[in-house]
Parts: sequence; C-alpha cells; structure tokens
Amino acid sequence: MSGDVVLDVAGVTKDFGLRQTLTERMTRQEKAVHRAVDDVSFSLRRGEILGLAGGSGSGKTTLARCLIRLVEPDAGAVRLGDADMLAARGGELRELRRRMQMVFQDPYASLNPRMSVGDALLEAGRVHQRPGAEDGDAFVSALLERVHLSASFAARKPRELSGGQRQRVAIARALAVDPEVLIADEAVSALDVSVQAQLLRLFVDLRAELGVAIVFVAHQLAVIAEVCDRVAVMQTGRIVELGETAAVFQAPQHEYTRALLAAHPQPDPARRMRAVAA
Amino acid sequence: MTEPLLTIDALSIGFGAGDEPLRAVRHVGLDIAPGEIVGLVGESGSGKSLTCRSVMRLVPAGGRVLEGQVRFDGRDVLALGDGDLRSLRAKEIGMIFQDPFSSLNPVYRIGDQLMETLRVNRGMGKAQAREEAVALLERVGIPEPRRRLLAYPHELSGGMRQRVMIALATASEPRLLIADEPTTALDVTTQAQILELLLEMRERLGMAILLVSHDFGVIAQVCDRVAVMYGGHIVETGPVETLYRDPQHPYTRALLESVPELEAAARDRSEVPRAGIPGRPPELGEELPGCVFAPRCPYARPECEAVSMALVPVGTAQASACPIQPFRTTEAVTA
Repeated sequence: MSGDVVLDVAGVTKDFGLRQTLTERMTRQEKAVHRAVDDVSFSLRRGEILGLAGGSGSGKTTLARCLIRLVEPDAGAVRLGDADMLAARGGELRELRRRMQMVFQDPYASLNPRMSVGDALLEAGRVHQRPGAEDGDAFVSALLERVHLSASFAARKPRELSGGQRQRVAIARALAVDPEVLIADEAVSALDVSVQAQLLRLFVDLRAELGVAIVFVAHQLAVIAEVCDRVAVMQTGRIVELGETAAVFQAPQHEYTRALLAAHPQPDPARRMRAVAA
Repeated sequence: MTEPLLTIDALSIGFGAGDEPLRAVRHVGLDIAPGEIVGLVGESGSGKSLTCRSVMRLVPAGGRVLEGQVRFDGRDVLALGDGDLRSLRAKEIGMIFQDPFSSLNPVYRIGDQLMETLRVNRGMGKAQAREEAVALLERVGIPEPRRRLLAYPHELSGGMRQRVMIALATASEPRLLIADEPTTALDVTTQAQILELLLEMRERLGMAILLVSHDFGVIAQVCDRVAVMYGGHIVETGPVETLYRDPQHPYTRALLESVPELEAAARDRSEVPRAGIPGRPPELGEELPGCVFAPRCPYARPECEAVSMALVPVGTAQASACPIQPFRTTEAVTA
C-alpha cells in the first residue's frame, strides 16, 4: 500500500495571529493565535479521491492551501512522491506545483478575463514545457475534449461561459500540466445541482482515465458521498474522523460527524429532521 | 378551501425598455394560504428570486412587471400608493435574504435597529421597545438577549445574524414571511437550526412563508407545498411529498435525480455516478417555441413545440406544465 502513496501529509500545523487591540499592542501582550490546522496527517493513494469535509472555519481550505504552499505551514511535512514539498525552493517548487494542481471554487476569479480559453490552456502547457504544447491547437482541443467541451470553446473568453463550463476550463488548465494530484477546493459548491452532477462525474472519469488522485474539499456531505473513496472530517483544525466513505457515513464514530450527518437536509420529505427534534 | 393570503396571477417580469423586453418571469401563478409554507425551487436564473421580490415590489432597477397581478389579502399590491406600500412592507410582509450582513446596518447596534423598527412600525415608546426587542431576540433563540442588544452585526456569527434578521422581519408579526435563500450562506448545522426556527415561527404566529431555495433538501425539510421553476415558468406544483415521490414534469424528475445523496456513499465506487441534466438552461430573453425544457428533455417529441406551459392538473393537488405526461401511470390517473 505504501508504494502507492502519492501524497503523504504528516503533522501539518498552521497558526494565524489574531489582530491585537491597541492596548494589547501597547502593553506588549503576547499575540493570541488561532490554530487553523492542528497536527493533520493523512496519505493519498494514486487514483484515490479523498474528501475533506467540515463546517466553515474547520480548517479544510487552509489545509488544502498548505499542501501546495499557498499558505506556508508552521510545522509538519508534506511529501509528494519522494519530494519534500516544504523544503523545495525556486524551480524545484515550481515543478512540484506542476505535479499538484489546484481548482478553486470560483473559476471566474481564477481565469484571466482577458485571455481566451485556448490561450489560458496553452500558457499553462508552455510555462511548464509540456510535450505537445508546441502544437497549440491540437494541445488545446485535446484538453477541452478531456473535460467534454468542444474545440470551439478555445476562442471564447471566460465571460462567455456558464459557471459549469468555466469550471471545466479551470479543470482543463490544471490538467494541461499532467498533475499527479488535483486539489479541488469547493470546486462544485457554487454550481446548480444539474451542473454539479456533471462535474462530479467528470472528476470520477478523470480519475479513471488519468489515474490522478484528488483531494476533494466540500462542505456538502452528500457531494462527498457521491465521489469520494475515503473521507476526512475536520473540526477546529483537526481531522476528527477518517475512513472509507461508506463506513464513515453508515457508522460515524465521532460526535461531530454524527451532527453533520443529522443536519444534512434530506430531499425526501418523509425524512425531515423535525422528526428527530420532536 | 380558505381564501388565499397571497395570490400571484399570470405574472410576467421583463428587463429592458421598449416593446420587446427580455422576459425573466413568464405567466407565473401561485397561491399561498394563511399559515402555509410554500417552497419555490429552481436553479440559478429560473426567475424564483424575481418572483418573490415582486410580492414586495422589490424588482431590481431595469426590471418591471409586464403583466399580471399580485394580490395580498384582497389588495392589489402592484397598484398600492407609497403610503400603503410602506405599511405593507412594514407590518404585513417580512422578508429575509441570503446574506444577513448586507441587510443589517453595520454601524448600528442590533438593539437600536430592532427598537427603531418597533418604535416606527408598532408605535412603541423607548422602554417598551427595549423590552420587546429582548423578547424578540429571545424568541429567535439568541442567548443573553439583553447583552446582545449592544452588539454590532459584525460581532455576531452568520447564524446569529440570520436570527437577528428573522427577529427584525417578524417584529411586526407579519402574516407572510418571504425567505429568499435564507440558509444558503450557512453551515448545515446552523441551517438546520434556522429551518427549525422558521417552523416554530409559523406555529407561534400562524405566519405563512414563501421559501425560495435552489436546494430541494431545504425545501423538503419545511414546506407543505412546492412550486418548481425553470426558464421563468412554474413547471410543476404540488404537495412536497407527492411531488418528491411522483414528479410529473420531466424537469422536476431530472432535478430530483441530480440532487446528491448521502446514500451514494454506499454505492460501489466503480459505478458511474448520477448524470445531471445535459445542455444548458435558456438564457434571459431566449424565446423557445413551446416547452422551454424540451431541448434538454429526454422525453421530448415534435408536439413539444406547441406546448403552452400552462399548468395542467394531475390528480387532485398536483399540476404540471407537461401535457405529454410521460410518467403518468394508470394508477396515478385513478388516484
């Protein structure tokens, strides 16, 4: 099993200093810290989809950002294959970030509004000198096809796309550099359910076709239930429960997981949570 | 049957001046009885928010009601003068939005905002308004209400802010509360508490609620009846249980099939997950012949181009805009 591990995270911790009041600063009080991520460890296998669940403020996004060093962790280790993610500098870090790509919640904010879809995809390929990127059109249309968009999208600007199409483009751009790991941070949360289902299926397809491993951050437990092999539930910066999705959802061990599951609004009116409260 | 409290009749809302405005809401009809909770569910751009805003005459600038009527307790809301409209908004219909932060004034304390509402709308004196404000905060489940009166909105969590909004919106004990995506910005645990609170308020005040949400799960938790919107039309209405168990319109069925479920955790990971709905919804102003869902509908036939989108009753309480009724079984007809 250990030979299969693509990403190994051990003891990652991140503190944020809280803003001090003037009096606190003048009296030189020690800065209060908020521990956003607290001693988190897990490993991700090749081709695995691991869900990160939890309420807002549970630390799931900060953890995701620590993995790729958009936020610098204060302690711990992140290993991508044999490489030490936290020790890498310069060109080495750039190469590691190629191997681990991120997809964000709002593709509108992560795509350059003045660049056509084709240019955005090609730029990613060229910067990282991907094979095939010399032949721009073929490179771009192969990527678009991979996310089930027609080649005609290459000429469009982000504003001409729907939310779901933009998110597909953001995924295509991540795939442009042949990553081993995708970090999807609430990547489907802002989408309507009919489009969300299409994107979830796309993530599952990409895993099957490319063997890419995915860290799938989502606050909606049902979304995690749809696609993740394993799930880690976070609360106040810690992973309080980690296991096979089916096992965790059927027999949650931690009180917080049980609370989250109980609060999930079931679409079946016969299963109103009111029944529990009454 | 009791007289409806609110009647929306053949309402169309469009954007842009001139003879050919872009239609966002098309010929929408909806009744709400006193004390009833009705859900309006649909995806972004379906026209659900516009429809509910028109009840308070809050259609955003650039938009206008092209035709139709909104009647509240027998009065024509769209024809009310300024004074009557103020009093309707102040006393009879309350409204809460997705983002309570933008609806609360950030530079006034919670207590001052509540007391202002009570003094203006209910003519209370200062001391009486303070006591009532404490009672209101208590009613919406805010701990230590007397201390919270002094808090500014930014000092409260999202869930607490939404509770304050509900306290404000229900301060005059309105007969109708319009809640536009009230829990979308909240955590599931907080969401569950707010939904519980809405049910409690209905019981306590006998207030009717129009709940707008893109999340069928939220609708299913609290609503008695539901109307499903797509492309500016209501495509199906019915009691929430029958609509969930036996959807009559292909869009409703496709929407329900798209909803992710916790039970999917037990599915074999090698299986293909649910598909969603192929294609895209119509854009604002896009005019389609016949049924607006036909281009994405797996049951579409040539006749669909002649469909009027008028709701056709199915059984006693349900109605669907699909006259083709592809799911209608013989039992459903006799039931």
